[in-house]
This record gives sequence, C-alpha cells and structure tokens, in this order.
Amino acid sequence: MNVAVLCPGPSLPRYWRPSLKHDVVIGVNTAGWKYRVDWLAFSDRHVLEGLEFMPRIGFITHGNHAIPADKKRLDPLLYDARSNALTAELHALAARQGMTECAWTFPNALAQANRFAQDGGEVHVFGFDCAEVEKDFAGQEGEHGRRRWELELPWIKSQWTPQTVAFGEASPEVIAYVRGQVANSGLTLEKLMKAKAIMDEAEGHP
Amino acid sequence: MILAVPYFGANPRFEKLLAHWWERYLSSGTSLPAIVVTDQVTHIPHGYPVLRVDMLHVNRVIRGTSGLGHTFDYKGALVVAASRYLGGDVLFLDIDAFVTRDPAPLLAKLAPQAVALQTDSWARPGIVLRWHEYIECPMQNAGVIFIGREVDRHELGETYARLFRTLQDDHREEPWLEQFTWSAVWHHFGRHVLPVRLNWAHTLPGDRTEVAIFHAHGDEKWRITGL
Repeated sequence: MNVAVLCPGPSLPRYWRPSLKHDVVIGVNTAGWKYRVDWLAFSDRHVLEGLEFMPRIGFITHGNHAIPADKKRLDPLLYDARSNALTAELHALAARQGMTECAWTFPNALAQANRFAQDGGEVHVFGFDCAEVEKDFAGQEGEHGRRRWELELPWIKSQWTPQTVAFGEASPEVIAYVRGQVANSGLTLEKLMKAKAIMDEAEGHP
Repeated sequence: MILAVPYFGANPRFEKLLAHWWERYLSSGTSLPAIVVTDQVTHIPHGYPVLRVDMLHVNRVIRGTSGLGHTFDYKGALVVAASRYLGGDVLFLDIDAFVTRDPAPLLAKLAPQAVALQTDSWARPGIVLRWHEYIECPMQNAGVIFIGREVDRHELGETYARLFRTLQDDHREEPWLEQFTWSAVWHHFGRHVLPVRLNWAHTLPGDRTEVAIFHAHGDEKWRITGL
C-alpha cells in the first residue's frame, strides 16, 4: 500500500492536497490540526489537546498518553526498546543523545509508514523541510533550529528507504544525507544545515 | 506512483512553461503527486517540490555537442539518474506533456516490471535500430516514460548507457539518439505499451476527451500556451 506522511513543515500546504490518493495518511503532530488523516503521530500532549477533529483510525503514540476510547493506538516502533526496529546501531545513537529510545515523532511515523508499505508500496513524505523557523505551518512554536535537526536527522536517515520520496523543501544536501549518499564524504550534519541556511538566504527565505 | 518532470537549463521561456505545466497539473485534479527532477545547478523557482540528482554518473550518455542532440541527451540522462532516486512507479513527463486528467487508473494497469513507452506515430515511424544484430524496433516516443517499481534501476542505467554507446556508433550526429536509445531500452525490457491516452498528441486522430496526458510536442506547446 502507498502511504503519505504529512510533516508540519512550512511547505506542507503547498505540496499536500487531500485529493492526492494514498491508502493510508499519517499526520505528524500539528499536521493533524489542519488535515484529515488516518493516523496521527504525536509525542507532546498539546498536540492532542489542540485537535479540533480526530484522526480517522487512531494515534501513533506512547501508552502514557490517554486517547479517546473509540480510537486505536499503535506503539511508536522506535520508542519501544523491545522493538526489533531499534537495532544495535540505533540503540547506540539513542545513548549518544541521552535517550534510551527515539523520542522524535517523525522518525517513528516514518517507521510505521514503512511497516504499512512493506508489501512494495511507496512512502511519500510531504512538508519535510528541516526549516529553521520559529513556528511550524500550523503556527505552533517549537524547537525548529539547527541543533534539533542535527539530532533528529540520523533517526530519519535510519528509516529512509529507496521507496521514500520527499515532497518538501529540505535542501539537496539533507536529502542526500537521509538517502545515505554522503555517509563517507566527510560532510557533517552541521555543514549540511549550513548549506541549507545558505540556500535559503540565496532564495530570499527568512 | 508519482509523476516526475525533468527540468534543466536557464531558458526563461522554459521556466514559464514549467509554471504552465504545474498549473495544468494542479487543475487536472490528479490523485498523484508530482515532483520536478533536475540537476545540481539548475535554478528552480520557489514553489515546486524538487529532487536534485547527481549527474556525475550519467555524463557518459551526454554528448558534448550543443544543440538539440545535447538537450535530448541531457534529458535522457536526467531521467536515468532520477529513476535511481525514485524507487516506486514513476511516470516521467516532458515539460510539454501536460496532465489533463488523472492518469492513475491507466497507470495502475501497467506491469510493475514495465518500462512502457508509446510508439512514436508522428515523428519517424518504422525505423530499424541496430545493436549486435539487426532488430526491428519501432521508434518510441521518449516524452512520456513509465518505469515500474520492479524495474532494477541499476540495470536500467547500465542498459541505457550500453545501448546509447552502441547506437552512437551508427548515429554519431543524430539529434534523436536519446529517443533511439529509449526505443532500444523499451525493447530490452519487454516492449510494454503505454496506452495512447497517456501520450496523446494533436497529430493523432481520434477522440481526445479521455486523454490523460496531452503531449504538445514541437511548436504546438508554444502555440497553445501563448508563451
């Protein structure tokens, strides 16, 4: 099955249209505030509290979060230390980041999307920008700075497959990184993010 | 399943054509997402999802000469390079192959292992292509190319490069060498036929009401867009 993952980057409204047909639509955080989705992945309580309408099927979130009784729950695959999805390499990455598992929402949504699409389907990611902005597309303030992306990108990379296509405005360097094409080139995440900042400046973005 | 539009260069007229393509795509109500595929240097105006690909590995299928042949070579190389980044079903559309209605139902009927093209009925039909031995292969139109999700992208790239070089021996100055090559690739991958409604041109007879892709090749694209 083909899966759409909606990230709350600034470009989401430009590239996602509900008329696009996917078998499953997963919203990430505040994407579920504005768009009808089948599953909503979230980690922070305020996302649930801000919902004006519910996802069609349920939530991808930790068991600690209470959800409406008529909705299903999927445990985040990278959040569960017992999950096979968390390889030794990822355990080590988590440890380096001071965590026991991946707490980032998007990589967990992507892991679930891959599971849905494992029959040969595609995963289309919309609104994936890695933008350095104060607010996401829904106006929610948060930590969207370079440091955050530096921490999250290795997890995203771990879930990126040849069937993943990004419809967003992440820099070519970031896309190359998550595709595993710059692993040995000496490029660091800091350089990648700098490249993105330079491109944004050239394009006249804030 | 996605649509991909190869775009490159710095011609402002073609930049406007890209905008026109996108406008038509959005108004067609298609259920498929689209992405612009380009090289590492072409400027793409803000507002399109873009996939930039590394052309380094496909330089061998771009002749150094300027003009039409070089342009087509570059486009073919871009398709080959981009197909390695896009692992699912992809319909590559020239910038003058406009989406007029949702192509998804027609595309869903194509085999996942298909490299599907349509016989070029308006340009140079019935050519004989030669590689290793004489094989009759009708000329295919390379403006619309479907590459299924089960097509081995590495094999596709290697086959394209091998056939390009082989055909180049007999067609060194041929501007349509890229189209010859795609025809040979089409033959190699089992001659899967793209429905005419996925690559319909004004030069074709018949009903256009069910057309999903209108290929305004040649000067037709400038005439109908007014650009």
